[in-house]
Amino acid sequence: MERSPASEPSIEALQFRRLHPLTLLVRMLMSLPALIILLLPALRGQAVDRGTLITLLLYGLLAFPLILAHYLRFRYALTPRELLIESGVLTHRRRSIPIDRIQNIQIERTLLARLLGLARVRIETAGSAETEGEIAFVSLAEAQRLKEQVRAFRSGPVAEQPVQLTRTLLFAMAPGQLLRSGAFRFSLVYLAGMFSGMEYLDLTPEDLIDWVVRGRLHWVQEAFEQAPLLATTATLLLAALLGWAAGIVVHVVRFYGFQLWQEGERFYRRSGLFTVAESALPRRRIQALIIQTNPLMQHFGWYALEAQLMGLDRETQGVQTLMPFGRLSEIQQIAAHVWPIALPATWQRVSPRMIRRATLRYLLFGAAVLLGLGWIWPEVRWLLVVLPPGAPILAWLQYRRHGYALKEQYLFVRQGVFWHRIWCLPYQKMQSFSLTCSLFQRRLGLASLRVDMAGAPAIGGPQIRDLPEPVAEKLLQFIYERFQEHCRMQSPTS
Amino acid sequence: MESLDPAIRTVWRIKLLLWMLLVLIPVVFYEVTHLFASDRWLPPGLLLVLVLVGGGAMIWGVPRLRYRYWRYALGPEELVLERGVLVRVRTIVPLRRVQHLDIAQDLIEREFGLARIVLHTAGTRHSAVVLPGLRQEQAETLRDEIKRYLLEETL
Repeated sequence: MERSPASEPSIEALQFRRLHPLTLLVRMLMSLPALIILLLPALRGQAVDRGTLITLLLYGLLAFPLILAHYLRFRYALTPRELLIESGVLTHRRRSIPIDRIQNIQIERTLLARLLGLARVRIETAGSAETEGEIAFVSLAEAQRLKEQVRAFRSGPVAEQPVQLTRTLLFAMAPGQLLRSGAFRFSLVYLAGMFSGMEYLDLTPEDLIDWVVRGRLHWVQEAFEQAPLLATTATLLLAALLGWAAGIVVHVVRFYGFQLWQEGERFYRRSGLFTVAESALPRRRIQALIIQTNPLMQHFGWYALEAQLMGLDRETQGVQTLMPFGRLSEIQQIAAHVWPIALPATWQRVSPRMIRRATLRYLLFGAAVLLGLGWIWPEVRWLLVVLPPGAPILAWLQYRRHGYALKEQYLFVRQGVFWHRIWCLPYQKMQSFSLTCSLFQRRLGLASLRVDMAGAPAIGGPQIRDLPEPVAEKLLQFIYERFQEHCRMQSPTS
Repeated sequence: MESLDPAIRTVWRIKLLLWMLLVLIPVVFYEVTHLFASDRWLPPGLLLVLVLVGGGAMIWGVPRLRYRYWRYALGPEELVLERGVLVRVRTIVPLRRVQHLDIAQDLIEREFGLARIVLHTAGTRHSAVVLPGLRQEQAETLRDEIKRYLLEETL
């Protein structure tokens, strides 16, 4: 193995390196499956006709020069401060990754690469789900050199001292509470199960109904045929009951034996009935806390706590439940182990003109959906009657449930009627800020503010909607200043 | 706040033109195959004219408007972008949140000596913020400035 000195003198004239020449061979071999698919029709016929030859020729003319061009254009250089990667045949790209931002370097060896003594180097930086840089392929020694060199260049090696960590159980869910919390959930999974079952057994819905109401239950069918209203009510009731039961089952399967415990700076959670999933949540990676509820749960005073995590890959990134079910005081106790937060007592409202926009949106959207469904089932069109009173009420509820609060360390945002969520967003974890103002918003003098966080879901993240434009501008300025302040306070220590 | 390089309008026009060709080809095909059909419900050539006029107006107008509303500014600690014709968006990307940055060029941009800067942050919604329409050397100086900030700040 090659050993390199820990700190080389910084090279002003960049020394670019190329990939290992055997890369050409690997890439050609890797591209063969595509060729086989192209040739599949011909291979079946077992005769080499002119078409096959032309395909082969075209492939050779296109693919091999591309592989060669890719190889020639690709070069990389490692300096004490950054890793530079130049690539691209048609689109030239020069990527620079600061050494400090590199979180992880993976050396990956596929079977083919192992046979030839090559390795693929993947460079990961924080937060993003995908690999940020890839160097494929270099010799194994070169891969290890890169890895060691980056580690040596990284300022302040993160030494994990083996301190005796105490394990404290923060929360465990009792079976009774699990059932109770399941009772507040609703799931339509059973529909998928039912349809796939019917598909599998080759049944139509009519067959199924006939099978259910055969024999002694035949009077039910007769009663339903006499009174369509009764049939509709019974169907809806049955659907609701099934959804409710399915909700309990899904919830129990997911959260059976839920436990949350803390070890130093890490949280661990474990749950599951059939497959027990255990995951570690380092406190450092938690980006936001979310308190979630629905109107029914809220009425009885129940909430759930979730944490939004920044991670290196899809499994560790995203939203994880910290506490599936609990009173607000319990939730706050658990949350306090992550950050010392206090829920705001008062919320700032957005502009009441939001109601107008939301009403219009629900009217249009509802009409489109109902008319679309009405195309298939004409009875559905009766539901259009519900729209004129329903849309404004829903819009008003939306407005009442939407709000934000500015605290010393955190921005709080709440939104949602049927799925109500309260976000707690620390200023120093924010990533970028944007103010949007659509055509319709401009006419009403409104604007929406969105703060992007690492690990946030792509849709449905926190957003302060429909603020009066001057307020939105001021708020953006205020939040950005707070962000800068917190980052400056934090940066000398870390 | 600074505007983009005016040449970006031409680049956008060329790209829109290529998109329009995608629509145009089936329309021409339809026109030619239905030229003498008796059951056609549009006068011959109308569809083609509509697409040509509409597409032409779009190719002429959209890049102009887009160009008019595109602004950017590099502050001491942040890059501010303003853009959007129908939906106006102002984005602030704090430089300390930039994970890495790219300069990219496609074939058309290269022909006009333009480049775009792509800033990657750890967020999800604006994880790649694109600033198009910079002259190559301008993009490089901007990149170097941002990079200088990144390297100084994190050490």
